Amino acid sequence: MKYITILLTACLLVACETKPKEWTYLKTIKLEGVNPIGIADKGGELWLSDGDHNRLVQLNDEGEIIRTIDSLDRPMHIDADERYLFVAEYGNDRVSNLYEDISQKNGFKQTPFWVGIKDSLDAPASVSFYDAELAIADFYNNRILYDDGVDWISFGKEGNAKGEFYYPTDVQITDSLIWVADAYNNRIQIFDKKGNFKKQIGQGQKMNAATGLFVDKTEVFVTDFENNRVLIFDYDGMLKQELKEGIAKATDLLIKDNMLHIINYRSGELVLYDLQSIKE
Amino acid sequence: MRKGIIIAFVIGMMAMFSTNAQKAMDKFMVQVDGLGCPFCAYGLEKKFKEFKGIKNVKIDIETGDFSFNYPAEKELSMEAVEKQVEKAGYTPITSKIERANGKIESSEDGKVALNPESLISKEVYVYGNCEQCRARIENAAKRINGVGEASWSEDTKLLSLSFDPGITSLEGVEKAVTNSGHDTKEHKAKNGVYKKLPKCCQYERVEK
Repeated sequence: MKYITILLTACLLVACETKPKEWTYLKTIKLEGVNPIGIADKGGELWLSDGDHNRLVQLNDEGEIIRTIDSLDRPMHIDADERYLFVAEYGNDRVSNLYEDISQKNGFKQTPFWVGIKDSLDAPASVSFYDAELAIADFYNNRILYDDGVDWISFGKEGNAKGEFYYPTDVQITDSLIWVADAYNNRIQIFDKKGNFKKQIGQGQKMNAATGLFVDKTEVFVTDFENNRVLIFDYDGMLKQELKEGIAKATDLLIKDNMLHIINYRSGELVLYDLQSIKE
Repeated sequence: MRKGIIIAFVIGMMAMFSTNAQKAMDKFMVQVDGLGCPFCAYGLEKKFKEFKGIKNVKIDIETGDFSFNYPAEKELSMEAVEKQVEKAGYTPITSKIERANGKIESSEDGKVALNPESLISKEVYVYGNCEQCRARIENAAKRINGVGEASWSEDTKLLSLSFDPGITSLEGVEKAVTNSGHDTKEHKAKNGVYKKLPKCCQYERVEK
């Protein structure tokens, strides 16, 4: 009898575990006076870039601003680790890190990266930092710059063939790959760390301006700016889910505390989704 | 004493000239084709930073209104401004310059004044995708003499027009719209023009 109970419980647990889940709209938080473009999780702190107001802001759980870093020049997509914020400044062609330093006026010390490429950046739209590696989406030059911690490489040029870009707006480094939101070719392109094209996804989904991306362990999330939606793909490019509720001119997204955080640029909103079991 | 007066006079004159020089700024106002996303809007702003001496750059992403001040002595032309807008990848809709000497220049100059009683309303289907398309389509129509209002809907794809049939025709408007890259049911844009549209504006073409 005891064994039957254990077996039944185990079966129930397995059934619960394998029950399919989907991202489900939770709520929208209005951000007063913020037009967010990029989002980052700095060791549990939620930071946004506010391009219209040339600043970064840290939000609390209610979406209220609790800290501000001013005097930036059109900050776009951002990244962070436990200690640093990484910011791409579109207006002055600069990519920097920022870390807390109470001796500074705004509480942060900003250090521009030396970019080991001969010609200069033209409107960096995104920066990604991963285990001492750095990648920059160089918007007007239609290329990606990548530093493996020792050497810089540059790949891509204007065009719509594989490995070419039409205004790259976001980039993310993962363990073995570099993912690029190729905004106006309406696709995501994936490269190895030598800059070799590996594959593209999303090109059949009629996206209109793929402005932001987030890659987790199994899925790829893309903001489809003009179509007011987020598309979720698996690593093979299979569309798993399309999110629309609450989404309007979204520019970026990430998963934090098991919730998908999506930012609406124009309306200044943070939209939250969580994973819930699919209802029968 | 005399030397001191001369120095004071020279300094005063320099200050006066300096103030006048600061005041002598032309004001430029351009409405730009659909600056829908911040990457586009900031890109436009960035490209205009190439104009050394530019001041008070303001850009409204919602309306596409873009304005700035520029030293009058440099005599920046409307044509140069429109070219710079195009270089940044966008299309100027209307332009206006308030010169420091009080002279006004406008891209609307030369348009015939319309009699409201002569206007008729028509609708025509125009292919397009987005807000940038809307701005381009409406601009193409509004530039024609005889057209009063022009409003395109992203949802229905209908261009609602009011125009004076004694001055222009629906076909004339359609041809102007197709010249901007957008097909109608009856007229098709040249392939080369269509391909020059921004990627987000390259609507699906219907083969006849």
